[in-house]
Amino acid sequence: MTQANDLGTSTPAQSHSGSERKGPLDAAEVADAALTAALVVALLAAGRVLASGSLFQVIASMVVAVLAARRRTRAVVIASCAAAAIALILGGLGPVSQAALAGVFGWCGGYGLKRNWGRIKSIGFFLLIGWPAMAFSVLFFYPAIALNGKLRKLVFDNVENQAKGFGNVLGGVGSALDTPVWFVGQFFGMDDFTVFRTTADALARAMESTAQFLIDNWLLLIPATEFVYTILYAVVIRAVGGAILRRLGEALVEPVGLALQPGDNASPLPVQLNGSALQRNGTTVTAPLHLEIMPGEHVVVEGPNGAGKSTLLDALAGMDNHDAVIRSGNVALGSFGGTARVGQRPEAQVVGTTVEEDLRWGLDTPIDIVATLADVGLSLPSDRPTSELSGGELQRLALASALRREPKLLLADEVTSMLDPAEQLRITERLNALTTTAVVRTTHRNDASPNDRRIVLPTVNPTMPAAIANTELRTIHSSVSESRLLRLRNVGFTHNPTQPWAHEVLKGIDLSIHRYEMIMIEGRNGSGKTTLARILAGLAERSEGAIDEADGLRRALAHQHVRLQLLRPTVEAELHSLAGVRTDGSDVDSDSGRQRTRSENLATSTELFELEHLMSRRIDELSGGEQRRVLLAGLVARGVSLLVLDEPLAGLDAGGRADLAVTLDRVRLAGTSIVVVSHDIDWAPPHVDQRLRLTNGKLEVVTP
Amino acid sequence: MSRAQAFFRPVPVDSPVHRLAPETKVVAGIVISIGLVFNPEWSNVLVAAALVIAVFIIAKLPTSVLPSIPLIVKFALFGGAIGAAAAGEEPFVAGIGVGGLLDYARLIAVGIVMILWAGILSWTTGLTAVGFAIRRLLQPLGRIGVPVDEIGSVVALAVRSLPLVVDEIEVVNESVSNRPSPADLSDKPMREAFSYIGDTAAAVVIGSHRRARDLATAMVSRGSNTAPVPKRPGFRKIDILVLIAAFALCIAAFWLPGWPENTPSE
Repeated sequence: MTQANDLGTSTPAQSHSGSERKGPLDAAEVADAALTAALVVALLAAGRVLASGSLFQVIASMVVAVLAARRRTRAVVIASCAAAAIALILGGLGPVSQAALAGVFGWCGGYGLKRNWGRIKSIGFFLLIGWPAMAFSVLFFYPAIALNGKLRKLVFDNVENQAKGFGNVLGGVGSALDTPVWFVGQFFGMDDFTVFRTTADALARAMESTAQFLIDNWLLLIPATEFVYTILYAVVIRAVGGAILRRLGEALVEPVGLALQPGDNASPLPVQLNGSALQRNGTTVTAPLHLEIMPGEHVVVEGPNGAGKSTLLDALAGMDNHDAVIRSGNVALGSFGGTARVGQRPEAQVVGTTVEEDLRWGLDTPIDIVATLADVGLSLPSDRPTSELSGGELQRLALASALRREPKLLLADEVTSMLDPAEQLRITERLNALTTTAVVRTTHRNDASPNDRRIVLPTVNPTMPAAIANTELRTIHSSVSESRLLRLRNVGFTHNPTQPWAHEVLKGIDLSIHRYEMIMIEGRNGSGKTTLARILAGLAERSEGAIDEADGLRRALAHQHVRLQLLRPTVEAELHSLAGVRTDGSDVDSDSGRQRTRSENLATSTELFELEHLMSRRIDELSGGEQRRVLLAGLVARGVSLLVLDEPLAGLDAGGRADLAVTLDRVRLAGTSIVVVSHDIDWAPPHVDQRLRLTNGKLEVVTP
Repeated sequence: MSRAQAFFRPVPVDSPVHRLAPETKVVAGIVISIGLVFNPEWSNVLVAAALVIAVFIIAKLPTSVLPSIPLIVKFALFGGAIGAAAAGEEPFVAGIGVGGLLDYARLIAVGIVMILWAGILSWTTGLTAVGFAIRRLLQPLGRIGVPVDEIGSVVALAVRSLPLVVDEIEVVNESVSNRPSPADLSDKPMREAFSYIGDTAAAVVIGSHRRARDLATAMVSRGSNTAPVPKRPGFRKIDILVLIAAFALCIAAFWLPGWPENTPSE
């Protein structure tokens, strides 16, 4: 929606002209450092598993370079220390040296990127800082060899043995080959019968002397090799890291006030909105608003997607410095007795690794974990990792932490969206029972109580695509035919079947999918729906049962986070890449039997999904709904005839769902069958042909 | 349930090794590894290997936890063994020089023992518990001015984000491998392939930075960017004993002699 071309949000380190801030990391720096450390560890682990360490080492260095270009050196050092510590525990000494190397090279690269240095200057800087660090001290491995005669001897003995051994093998092969040469040579009157033996011996000698040379000069050769490596790293990090930074700048457009607020003298109420519209990055996000919130008051904010409900709540939380918000006291976000905020997506609200750590985060006073959890109807062990919690549990955990602060102002953005109806009612009643706390919450469920003040925000920027004409859909509906695309018979799936943590996820699944059909599969977290989605999309193999597939069936999975599946910079490039159409318009593989070429398909599908006017736009400037349309259009043009969507509803309100429904209809107009997999049991797209529910690995039909 | 959770996941049995404080396992593993690396003699390798196998059995770990070795690594190991066997070094057994093979076996054994230590830690300790252990082990460094609170918070949040990040990398990787090759789509295949690698990295980086922004917002909402200091672990007598034994082994390892015939003179 909004477009701005800055490199990110509140990055003090970005302008190097001013003096860099000193002191501990702020919230944004801690978060960036943490994700960078996690990414480095994950990449190094992947490099190990896939036995292609050096490629992943380069990518890990680029990830650190991106951090170094956007944040202070302090953040880079701390991220590298954290990554090295985790790597040490997970993988031992080798990964530590890799993490340290990624830290040093990443920092060198980021330092140059931040200052827009040319190639020569960057390489020079790398050689000055990165090379000595790599060759001598930072890497644990080399000092270990240099100082440790016995390990060195063992390694070098092995190098020598290999050279000698393969030399011997070569010599043997040479001698063996010379016998037939001698035999053949008799007929041609040759004198020299040892051509193979002499060549092999020469080769063997060369190998041995090379190995000996390497061993004799290791102290010189290791730094020399690293010299070359350093230059390669400098060039690659500068080129690719720069490109990543530019795209990151396009992607991170929404500014959020990421500064911690002082917690003393909390007095967030009363607060007023002075009648002007709220803006973000110079773009108007809400309609003009007159509003005053008094202590103890309960307000429900309603309105379609894009009306700025979340922006309003963030403004009330003091997260952006909006001129429109007038208050005399201190908002004290997150402090005891101040303002508490729970945002929309459950997984984005949690900070702790365990339930207990999450509840203790930011609170100095000791807390009764059991009672705090019971307050929102939860009963969890305090050492339960938060990564194992379901969406509904996460929402209630975040709410528990907010309530525990006994806030004067509670801001709750769609906090019951992942709950059962019964749980929802319970939470809504809990919030209604708050008397000394002012509550401002958004909802798409029409669950405001008579005592609540309702505010309905109008749409500011309508972006709704036109609905598909009913007659066209009726045609599709009636053409759901007997022609079967895919049939699962008694399919079961067991995770890690040979390992101790094996567990059965799916059992006895029978399912047929026909051409033009749209099927909805609902299931709670842990019901096995993601596994089923992967099996349907052909990404996972079943453990038992049988799967019949129509000839030439192409399947694809659209993930919940669409952006991860879009790779190229612009809409046009992305569509070409997805559909397999060359830049000159010809097909990659002109497979016979198809009546239409892919470029024709692509043109049709671009038109169908109304993407023509977006073709030259950058992917990262698009809204989430537009990104999904690009992905689906590309897959349809590639000839995908069965499309599986995993959790497409997550984070969508009524407007977003209507938009999704229209997009799904377009997919069917193109002749592609759809399976929607969702945790949401309240909503199914209109025009769905079959609704199924997955419970404990078993599939049953939902009767409407 | 996330696919990535299989990646650092304790085996669900109860054993004395599971019950040890995570710090004990971390420190003992590192200390014994140091002894092994600095004196990789046969006697020492055998002691360390026997120890690691004993701990594996005490921890009630089934052999099915051991990961399968990629084919390419198998080939490399086999090829190396052929080369080493053909070297014909002393000592000779039945006329064949097995010295090279022995040296080779010793080097590989050092590597396997080190990997197994890391494996035992991961199969008996949850990732979150390891995160807490790292932070507690870092605490003493605070006295010499190391910003342990900041490193600790970053470690905590990194550990929390690790499974999500691994999942995201998998999604991007799948997306790449399900597409037509980029080199086929352009007249400049090399250049196209290079920019494709950059695009792939960009997708991963953008995904993780979005998460970072969510995390920062969540921390601001909680009013603090510092993880609470983890509680002291329940150290028991057995932990102290294990640590003393590990240090004793490490020190002894420096004096353990090698077999004379395995250290041929220059």
